[in-house]
Amino acid sequence: MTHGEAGSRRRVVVTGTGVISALGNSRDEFWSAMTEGRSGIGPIEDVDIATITFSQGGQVRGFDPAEFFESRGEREIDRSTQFGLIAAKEAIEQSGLEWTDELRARTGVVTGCAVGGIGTQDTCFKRLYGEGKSRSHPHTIPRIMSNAGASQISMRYGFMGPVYTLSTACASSNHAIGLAFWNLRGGLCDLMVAGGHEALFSRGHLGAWDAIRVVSHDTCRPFTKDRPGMIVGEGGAMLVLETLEAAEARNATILAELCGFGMTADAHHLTMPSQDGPARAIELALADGNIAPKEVGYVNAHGTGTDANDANEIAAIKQVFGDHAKNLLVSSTKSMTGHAIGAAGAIEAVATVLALRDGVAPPTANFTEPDPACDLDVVPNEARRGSFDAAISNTFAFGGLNAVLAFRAWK
Amino acid sequence: MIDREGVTRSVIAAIAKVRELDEKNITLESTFDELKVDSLDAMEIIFEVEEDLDFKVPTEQMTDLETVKDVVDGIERLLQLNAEGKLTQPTYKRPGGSPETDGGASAQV
Repeated sequence: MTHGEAGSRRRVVVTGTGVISALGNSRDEFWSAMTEGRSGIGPIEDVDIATITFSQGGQVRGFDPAEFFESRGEREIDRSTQFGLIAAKEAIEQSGLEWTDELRARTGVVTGCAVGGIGTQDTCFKRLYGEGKSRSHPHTIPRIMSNAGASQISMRYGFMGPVYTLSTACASSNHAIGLAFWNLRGGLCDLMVAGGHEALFSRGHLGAWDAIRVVSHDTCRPFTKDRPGMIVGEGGAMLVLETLEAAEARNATILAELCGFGMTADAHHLTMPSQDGPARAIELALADGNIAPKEVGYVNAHGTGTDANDANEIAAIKQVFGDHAKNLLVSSTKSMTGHAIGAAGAIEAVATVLALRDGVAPPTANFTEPDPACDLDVVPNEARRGSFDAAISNTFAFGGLNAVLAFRAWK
Repeated sequence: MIDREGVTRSVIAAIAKVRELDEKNITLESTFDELKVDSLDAMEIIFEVEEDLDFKVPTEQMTDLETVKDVVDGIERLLQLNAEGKLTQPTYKRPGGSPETDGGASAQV
């Protein structure tokens, strides 16, 4: 492909996925746990939560950077960035790509990250304010910056195309994947590694989540009546995106087609969602992908498990899909991973791609009692087989920012 | 005050940590080119030495450093000045600052 073709609409497919999350350190662990409806949420470890009222989190457990990174430079970067690198490696390996200098020059990286290296920042501030130190580690700034993941992936693999980071709270990864998709479709580059990463389990940051009073003291039970709230998670996930033409030319295994992206803003309230903003984002994603609503079989919901999100999201889905809404399988995989904030969209994009590939809708785990305000098929507790032509993955951020991805099964 | 041998040990330990090298392979004559120390590594090495010896190296002193010996000499000289109360560091420069705040901080160790 050359720059001369910029402006044409090329088809974009997913040929690699990588994920590290509360469900394990690899895609296989992630997908087997998810299809079995096993939740990775558990007691928060390695953080002093004495002053925090909640105690459960979707943490990446037993993570030892030394198992993943040979160089000290990578072992000592922020945990969030490490998750991005680990996910990128798995996705790139699955793609089976053979790298040339020409391809590297035309490969980009777009990542979503909401809070940057907040663990590094927490350590830095604790030294200054708590321990009375007067100097900070000189790598603090490059470790904290939100684009550290995109930059590290670019440097490790020599990718020299468009490399940037989107930070839109809980919608960060969907904005990242969506814009990577549009860049690729428009001919700006020939290959994209896109996704997100987040690691925010630090005392300072968890305390801030506690203050906003949306975190569950129990576990995460999306769409359940009297649901107790969200659970903070962490992790990283990446997709390898390439043009259909390039994937077919090299006989790559195509996992799904990424065909639509829609984004809107509520212009309404910092934390309370509107119904119209999410509904318009879903409509735009479907229109962008030339997908008729009735073709959609699976919805990976934003499904945070908060009272406000879940009922509002179901209403938005009904607004878009009308009578077809009752045929949809709508699940929240945050019930198993927790809400990985800036990485959530990427983790759920991987779940959506694998759902289309295998014809399996992962469930909404921890479901107890139906809520009349969430009266769609939310796939309670057990995964469901189905033949889905298309699926969407929703993310709706604080600040009223909505980003929706639409995929087609590759058959 | 720490002696020259102590300073040398601290500097070599810092370089070994930052560059992941065996201390035995670092001598006073080693050059930073040979050790592949870049500017970001240099910041980290100085940070490690500052933490170890508990004093601050003024940024303006970090010039013309080619060998491990240059760093050891420089730190030894700064420590000596510091011990004599002659090292004005660090300088907290403020635009349009008054004499109290413009470079007025005296050595504090």
